[in-house]
Amino acid sequence: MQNQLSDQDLIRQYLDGNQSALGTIIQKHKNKVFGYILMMVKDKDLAEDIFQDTFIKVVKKLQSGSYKEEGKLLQWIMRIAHNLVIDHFRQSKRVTMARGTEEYDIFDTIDMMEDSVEDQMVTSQIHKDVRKLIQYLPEEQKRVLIMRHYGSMSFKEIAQKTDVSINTALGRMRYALINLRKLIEENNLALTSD
Amino acid sequence: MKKTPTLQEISQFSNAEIDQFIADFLASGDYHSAPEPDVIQSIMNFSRIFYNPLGLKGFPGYISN
Repeated sequence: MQNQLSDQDLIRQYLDGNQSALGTIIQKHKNKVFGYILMMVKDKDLAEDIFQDTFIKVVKKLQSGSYKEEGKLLQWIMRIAHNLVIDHFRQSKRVTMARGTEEYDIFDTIDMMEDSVEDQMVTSQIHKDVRKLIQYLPEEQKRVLIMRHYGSMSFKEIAQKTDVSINTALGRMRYALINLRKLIEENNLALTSD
Repeated sequence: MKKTPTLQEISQFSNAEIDQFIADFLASGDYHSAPEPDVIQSIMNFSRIFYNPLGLKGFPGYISN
C-alpha cells in the first residue's frame, strides 16, 4: 500500500513520525542509487558504505527541513550520492599523496581517526558519561564500539564475532563515533572532570 | 558501447554534466544491484535514534544544519 504513495507523500509521512515511510523510500530507490554508486566505485563494500552515508545525509537533510519538494526526490538523492563518491575519491587521493606511497591502507586512516576522536571524547574522567551515551546508539554500532574500546578487539575479530565484513564493522564503528560526537555536541555536554 | 568515464573525469564534471550523467544512468536501466539488508537496517536505526520531530535542541535528534 505504502509503495503506491508518491515520494512527496512518503516524505510527509516520514516527517510526521512514520519511520517505515523512510524504509519505503529506501526500498523504492535503493537499486538505482546503489547501482549508480557501484558503477562509479566498482567495489561492493565501498558502495555500501557510501550508500549508507547517502541515506544518512538524506535523513539529516529531511529532518532539518533543507529538502525542497520539487517532485525530484530521486535526482536529489542521486546528486547526494554522486557528491559523496567524489568526496571519497578526492579524500583517498589526498591520503595516498600525503603518504608518498602507492600503498593505501584503510586501517591507518581509521586508526588516525579513532585516535583523534578518542582524544577529544574519552578521557579517564568521562568514561561514566560516555557509557551512558553509548546506550543511545543503534544496537550494531553499540556492539562494535564496546568490542573495540572496552574489549580491545581487532576489527577482524569483531567482524568474525558479529558475522559481518570488516568494512561493515569499520563503517559501524565510524557511525558510532560520529553519532556519539553528535550526541555530545547537541546535548551540550561538558565531558571534563571540572 | 559508451565507455564509463573514470572517477578522475567525473570529478571534473560541471553541474550540468553531472545531471546529464545521472539522467543517462537512470535511462540505461542498469541498476539491478542492491545493498545488503544490514546496510538498510543501519540507516533505519540511525533515523530512529536521531528522530526529533520538534527539532528541540538538547534531544538526540536535533540537527542544527
